[in-house]
Amino acid sequence: MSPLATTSRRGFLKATGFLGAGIAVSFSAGCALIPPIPKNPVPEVKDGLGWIALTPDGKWQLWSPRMEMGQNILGSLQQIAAVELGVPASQITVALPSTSQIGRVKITAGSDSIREVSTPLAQACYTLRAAVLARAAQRLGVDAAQLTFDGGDVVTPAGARVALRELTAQPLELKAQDVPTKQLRFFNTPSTSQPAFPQLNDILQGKPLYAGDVRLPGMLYAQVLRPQWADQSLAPTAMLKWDEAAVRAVPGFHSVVIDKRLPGPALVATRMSALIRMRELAKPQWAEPKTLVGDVMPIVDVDAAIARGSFTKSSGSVADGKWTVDMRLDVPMAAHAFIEARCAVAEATTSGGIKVWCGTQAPFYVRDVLQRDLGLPADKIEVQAMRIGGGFGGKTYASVEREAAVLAVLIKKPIKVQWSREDEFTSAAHRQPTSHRVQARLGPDDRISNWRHSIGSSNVLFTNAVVPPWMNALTNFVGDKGTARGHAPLYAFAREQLDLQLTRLPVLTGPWRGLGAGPNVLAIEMAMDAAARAANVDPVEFRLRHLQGAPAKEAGEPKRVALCLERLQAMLKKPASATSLPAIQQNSPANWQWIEARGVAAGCYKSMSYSAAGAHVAIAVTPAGKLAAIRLLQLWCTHDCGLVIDADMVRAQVEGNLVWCMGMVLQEELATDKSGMVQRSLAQYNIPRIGDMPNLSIELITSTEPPTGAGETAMVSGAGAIANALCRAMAQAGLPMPTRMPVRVSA
Amino acid sequence: MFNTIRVNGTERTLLPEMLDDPLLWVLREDLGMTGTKFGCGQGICGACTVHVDGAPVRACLTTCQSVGSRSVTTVEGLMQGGKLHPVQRAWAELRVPQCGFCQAGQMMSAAALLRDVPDPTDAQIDQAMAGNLCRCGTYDRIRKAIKRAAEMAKGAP
Repeated sequence: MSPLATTSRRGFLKATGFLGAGIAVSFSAGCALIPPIPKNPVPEVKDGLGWIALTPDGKWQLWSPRMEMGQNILGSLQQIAAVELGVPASQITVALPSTSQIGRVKITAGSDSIREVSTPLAQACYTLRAAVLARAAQRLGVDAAQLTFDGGDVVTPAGARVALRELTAQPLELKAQDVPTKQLRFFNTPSTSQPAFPQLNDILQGKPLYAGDVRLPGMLYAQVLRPQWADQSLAPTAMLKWDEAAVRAVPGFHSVVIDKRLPGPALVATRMSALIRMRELAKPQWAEPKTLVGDVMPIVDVDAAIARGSFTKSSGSVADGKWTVDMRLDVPMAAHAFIEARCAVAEATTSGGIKVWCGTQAPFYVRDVLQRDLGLPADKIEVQAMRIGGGFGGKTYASVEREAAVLAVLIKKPIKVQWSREDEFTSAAHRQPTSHRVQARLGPDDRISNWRHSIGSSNVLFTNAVVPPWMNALTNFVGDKGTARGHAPLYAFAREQLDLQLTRLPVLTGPWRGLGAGPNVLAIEMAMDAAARAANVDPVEFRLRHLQGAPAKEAGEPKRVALCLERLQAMLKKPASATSLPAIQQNSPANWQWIEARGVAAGCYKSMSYSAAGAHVAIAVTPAGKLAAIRLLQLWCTHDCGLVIDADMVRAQVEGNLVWCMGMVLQEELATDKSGMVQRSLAQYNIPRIGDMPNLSIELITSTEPPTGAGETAMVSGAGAIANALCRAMAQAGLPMPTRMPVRVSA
Repeated sequence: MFNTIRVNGTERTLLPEMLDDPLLWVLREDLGMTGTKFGCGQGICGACTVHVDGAPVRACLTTCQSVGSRSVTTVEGLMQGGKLHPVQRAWAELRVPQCGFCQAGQMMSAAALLRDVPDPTDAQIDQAMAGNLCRCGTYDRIRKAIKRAAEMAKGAP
């Protein structure tokens, strides 16, 4: 019997950190079968005291506990610290930390950075300020309450001053205390000024910020030849042959490294250009896995699960009867397609350790993985966080970082490992495919009385990029909150049933912007719209009927979604400045019929942030009744993420989410066949371009609720709005409703 | 045999083995100018856009030899007379970047457009910028920033 069998499944999952966000976990490193699991401690003020410091030379230094990938977390945290310390933001140096500079922090993901970090950071700044002023008061012989900061000094009302550097000659004694939020300036007198954008000038001038920009003396360059089937447990393969002689003949060739910790031979070169040539000439061939499958969509077919009558997780029940809406929707896999292909630089240190520079969302998790793979203690491993050139959930596990670290240790020289664009498509973890069946029954009051939403999909949080198959068998007892995100509707239905079938796939799936919330709420909102059409009720009105008076749920507060919808309704009544349809018509065949329509959708993200969106589309139909063109003319969005620190950057996040929603509904599909991923370049994988952009109108709802998150919220509204506008236009044209995303033109 | 390449107004010496190399990697790894980014290596994403005699080219597909005696300008050389280029100023004012990784390429394409078309229409912007991908979705701001840069280039504050 396995030792694990003596532990209850739930107990085991809890012990390994899979159950309950924020559980600080320690598990035996001796159990090699268990992969390192992200440890996600909920930050407290004692942690915050490790992020902010007054340095011996009298400077304020802030180490960001969250990684920067475009949300301007550096600027927002700098602003919080400035308000709480009572000093100008410009006097606080903010930087991305290494794992040696701060204590363990959780992965930067889930749009919860501000929600989780703002209070402990403000408390720590409050504590630091009080300690500095207390020491200054002692030196100056006045009451601390009379003192203020002035540049690099502390001053009394009478003008006496003492330099900050003099106050730090002896270490400050900082006692962690849970300062009530009512005492914190940040929560009571929030700044109205726009936070700075700390790395903006460096971006504009091309200064080194990203992992790939790191250059070390004597550095080598490497890439790993990897199979095109990334999940080696379900699609095991072996290399048949490759042209090693051609690789070795390239000027600049350094070595070939074969190590069981790498997925294939690593090619090492003295110059990056040589490495590119070596990779081109390698031409590896891999044995086709015996378990080979082609298209993965049939594996997650929800109707097959319904026919079997069993799901991984199921809750609630519905009454038998005829459905008013019985909708099938398939949403395929999608790639992150961040423009920064992943890269890491590693160097063995003189003390027998390793330092790795990488653009990761999870530097401490990377350290844990390296600890396992290199057999080094944690204090011998330093992971330096760099600005991330697009994360979106895709840089939450260790990949290129471990390749660089393993090679640096083996070769004993600094090394840069740069994934190719094809590596990103074949070997990364992508958005899970989902297959939905949503059934809704209208009651005599034209409200939905019964609702059933069944989903077939694969794992997200328990990604097969990290979790072995045997462990998935255990994790499935608790489901997967990532795949299920957004599954529970906020609307009040008399009866509802939610089913989720999780099936491991031979390709890697993992966190993608919004996780399950994007496709799940898209399906919900398309079904809600179909029900509104069946009831012949305005779609906003129909949703409000199902929100007003609805009790607050674990899934969020219905009244805040209702507010987003009401504000959207007001926006939709204003004249639109949409791209004019005549201009589009002029460039299209004269016999196309153009039809315009609007759609709406709304939702809640992670029980904390809310959004509603509207879309205005035009479709062209040929005389033969084929869908010939789709043009998105306008998007509107309302957004409530509580107290906003940087309104402009929240707007930027909403803009980004809306673009991702466009891709989800109109463009993006990552397909598989027996050779692995069908799309392996940005020429084959179509993401939105500037010419696809509609006009955008965004309204942030002023709120005094605690700050939450904006990085993924609009994923729950934008896609549904676009899809529903399309459905309404297609219904007018007599076209069948789409049953899979993205919606493709057929003529 | 040695050769040279003119980058941001400075002659840089190349080793013989660099002549057939993509300009991108020579700029980044040999000359230490990492502002020009690797995104795809296939000329599709536009992250590696630089100017050769003022025209936008993809550095990942351009060999050093093919540049010959022409002048290369990278994002590090976009400033004019110690001042930010209007495109850089407009990008800062509208806070265009999110992750920022693609923005060097975006700005180089935008600067080349404004050199040829001082007052571009939306359609001209869309056409000129069609080869520059941004996964963060900053396109709306890019469009506005190009128009703002056009104003700044004509002296608007």
